[in-house]
Amino acid sequence: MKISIQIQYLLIFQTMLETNTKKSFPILILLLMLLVVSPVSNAQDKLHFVGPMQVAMLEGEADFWYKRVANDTVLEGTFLLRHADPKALLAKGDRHFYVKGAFRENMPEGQWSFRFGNFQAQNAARVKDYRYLVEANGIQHEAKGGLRNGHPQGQWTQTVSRIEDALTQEVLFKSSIRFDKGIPQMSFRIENGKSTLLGRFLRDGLAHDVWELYSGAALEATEKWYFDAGMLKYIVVQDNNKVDTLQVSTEAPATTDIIYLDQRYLDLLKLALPMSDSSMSKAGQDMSQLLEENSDYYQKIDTILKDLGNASFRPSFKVKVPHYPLSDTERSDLDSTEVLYGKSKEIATSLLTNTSLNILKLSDPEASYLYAVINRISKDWLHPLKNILLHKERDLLEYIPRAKLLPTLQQGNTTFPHLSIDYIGPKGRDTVEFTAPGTRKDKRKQGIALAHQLAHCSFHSLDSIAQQLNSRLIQQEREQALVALEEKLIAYMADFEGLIDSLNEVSSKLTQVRLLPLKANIDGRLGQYSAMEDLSEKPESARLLIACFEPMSDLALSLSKLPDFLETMYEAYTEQVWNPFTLTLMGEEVKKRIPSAYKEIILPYLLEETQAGLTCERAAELVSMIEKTHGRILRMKKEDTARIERKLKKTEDPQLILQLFGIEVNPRMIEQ
Amino acid sequence: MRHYYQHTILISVMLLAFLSFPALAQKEKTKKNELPEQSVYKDPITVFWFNTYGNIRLTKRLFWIAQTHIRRQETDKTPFVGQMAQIYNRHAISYLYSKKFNASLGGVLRVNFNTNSTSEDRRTVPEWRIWHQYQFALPLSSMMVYHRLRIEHRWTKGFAEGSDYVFRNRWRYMFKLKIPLGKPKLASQTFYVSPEAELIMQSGGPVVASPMEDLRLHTSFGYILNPRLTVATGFMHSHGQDIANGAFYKQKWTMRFHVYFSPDFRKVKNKLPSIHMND
Repeated sequence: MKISIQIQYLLIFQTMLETNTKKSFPILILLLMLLVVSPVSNAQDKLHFVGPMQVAMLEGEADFWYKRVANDTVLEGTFLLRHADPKALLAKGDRHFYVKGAFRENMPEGQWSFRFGNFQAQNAARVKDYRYLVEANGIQHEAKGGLRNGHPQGQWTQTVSRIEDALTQEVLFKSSIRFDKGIPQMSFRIENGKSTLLGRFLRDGLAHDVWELYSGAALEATEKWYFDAGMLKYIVVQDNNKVDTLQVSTEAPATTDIIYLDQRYLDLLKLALPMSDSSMSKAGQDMSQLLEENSDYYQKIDTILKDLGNASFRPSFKVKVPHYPLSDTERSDLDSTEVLYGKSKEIATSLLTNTSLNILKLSDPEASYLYAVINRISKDWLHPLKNILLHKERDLLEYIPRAKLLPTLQQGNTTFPHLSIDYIGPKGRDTVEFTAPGTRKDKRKQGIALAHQLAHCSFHSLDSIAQQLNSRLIQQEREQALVALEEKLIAYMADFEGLIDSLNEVSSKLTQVRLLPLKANIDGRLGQYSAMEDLSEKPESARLLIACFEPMSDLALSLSKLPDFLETMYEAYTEQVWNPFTLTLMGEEVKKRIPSAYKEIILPYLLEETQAGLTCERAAELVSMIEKTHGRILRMKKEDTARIERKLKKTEDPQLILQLFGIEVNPRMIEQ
Repeated sequence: MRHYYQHTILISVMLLAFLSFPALAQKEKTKKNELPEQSVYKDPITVFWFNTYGNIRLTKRLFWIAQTHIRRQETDKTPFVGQMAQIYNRHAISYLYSKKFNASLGGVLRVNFNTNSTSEDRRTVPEWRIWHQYQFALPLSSMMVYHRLRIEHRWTKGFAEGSDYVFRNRWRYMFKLKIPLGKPKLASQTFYVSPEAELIMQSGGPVVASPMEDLRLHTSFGYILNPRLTVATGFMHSHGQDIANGAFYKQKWTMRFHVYFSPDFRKVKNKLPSIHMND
């Protein structure tokens, strides 16, 4: 805004000069003065902040200059953020940091330096003048270099050192890269304790010429990567005096693309290089580690700078790679492949982990064969598809030559859509060729189209196998379920018998007699179940029978509690009354008709209901009715029951009495 | 169970042995005002008592005692019930201090019937009493033990026309047991046996040489229908000095029938909580 005002002054000044009149001279002088003074007034707008501040993961004391523009804080001038806590250092160690630099219009500008340390104090200290000098141990990360418009400019060094007794003992990591407007220039050097990488760039940041990697104590480079304007041509690997040359690409690609040299590029390389070569399994490992480590340190500073203002701070090493853009057909094939793969994987997993199938395959040769087919489809067809889908997810597909997508579709002498299946047949171990139903390999197809065909074929094969197995599995599962049900049935029966026995031990004679029919009832049901010949109806009958144990057991428990209830009831309906002749307190039964109606009419009725012909549902109803009746009778003691007592005088019908008490009597029970 | 029967049988045997003693004493005719060398036991007469005992609850601690006793006595022709002897109307207010102690104070109007068939005096005369009583109750094993002290101030007169009231005091002590039969404690629907012994002493102007008015030995069998109603019956032998001559002992065999009732007409809310006294 201030710049625009200055421009306006200049325009007026120019107009003045053009008119060139004497009268305008004093105004001219005034304007000139304003022009000189305005930057000073700009400077006066800058504000100074000193105080605590958090930037990304750093929390410390800040000291910086800024200005307010439309309610935004715009950093302008020097910036300092630091933290060092001596108390923490002495107690458990301190994570100190020191960030110093400057901003212009919110952009990091000029020389910056960063220090991050994780230090523990030594136990000993020296006193010099009025200072305690404590030596520290720990790790320090130091980064310094220039920035212009938020991009690295000039030489940047990142150093990580191990500090012991306040001295650098070991350099754990060091990188030194020259930048121009954020683009790496000329040569660089990255080293950690294990290896050192030296390389060069073109002016546009593309890797160029030979990149050399020195590992351990070897005098010669262990890996040499030959780049030509960003394109990697070949790698020379030297291992134990054995020199291998790994050709990356022989044919010139139709189109190329420029990407960052990062993990993704290294993954692409692995696909591009010959798989069988054992040297390649090692190649790139050390380099990848160095680059990743370097990238992490740059990332750390990038996070801090981005949190403060506008910046892009990354190493930006670039390479050129062959580019094979995905066509629309390929994209739609990929989407379809993903869906088919998902379905196939689901079928395969569910069948392979199906317990019934795992048991069935031991006795049924066909099931054994089909199981082996599923296993092979899963390994030989679905697994490569999974890799392709992973490449898709990581945006690698458009850099991979299609011919290299499915390198392993041939297994022994059989090729897709055939599989050679080893399984345990009726005559022992056998090998049979499996051909996917209704599929013929289209030899012209390759790459993603072939993957799509493979997915299609996998799905249809698995689907047809699942259908073949389904009826066998249902039968198998049914039999297993029945076995499980019968085991449960036996366990329930044992529990029930145990319950009856234990109740008989503690119950009165009255109850013992009443429990016997319940046991006879269950025995009868079990007898009927055993006599059943139709296997298909057995599971349902077993389930019903199991369900019957609960109400029957509950009823047995309820019956065993009847004598206790009688006692409780009479206790509740007895009040203590003072007899002035004996001079003692005496129990007097009150509301006699209610306990008497229970004992004389309801109880015999309930007991009668538990006898022969009792159904499971009725047992449950009886349990509930007994509980409700008991609760109600105990509550009636405190209620006004004059009307009920009067009516009790006139009836001896148990169901009427229960209704009088407010207990719902199941109509079916009345009928019976 | 057997335990309670044993109690009962033992006490009954002891009582019978005791009762038979006066009957064996020598009977000798002596002139009315002369003291013979040995005491003389008159022939026992037979008596019939029908007693109602009301104990009406007034408040948590106060009862109204209302008793009506009808006492008949033999005639030459009819033993036990031949003629009316006395009608009692006894009332008092009783205060229940605790389960173990209560005290009562009240009055008695007794109508005495002239049982001398040859007498030409008045047929009936009233007798007035003021009485107060202190009763202790103690549980012992399954039974209850009672000690009753009763003091009566009585005004009596003879049947003769124009006779004056004579004032005497009576000093009574009764020891009684109530033993439940077939149950572990006295409760509703329980039979019980209740042996008792009461010594009645008297004093006052006319009492010269006969302070022992009566010694009553009685065992009753009762049935507690519920805490509010009990019935009992039993035999009693009693003997005591003749007021005219202390050497002469009167004897009685009494057949007793008792009804005990204790209604509680209070409203339900006043009844609660039920009495627990000093438990």
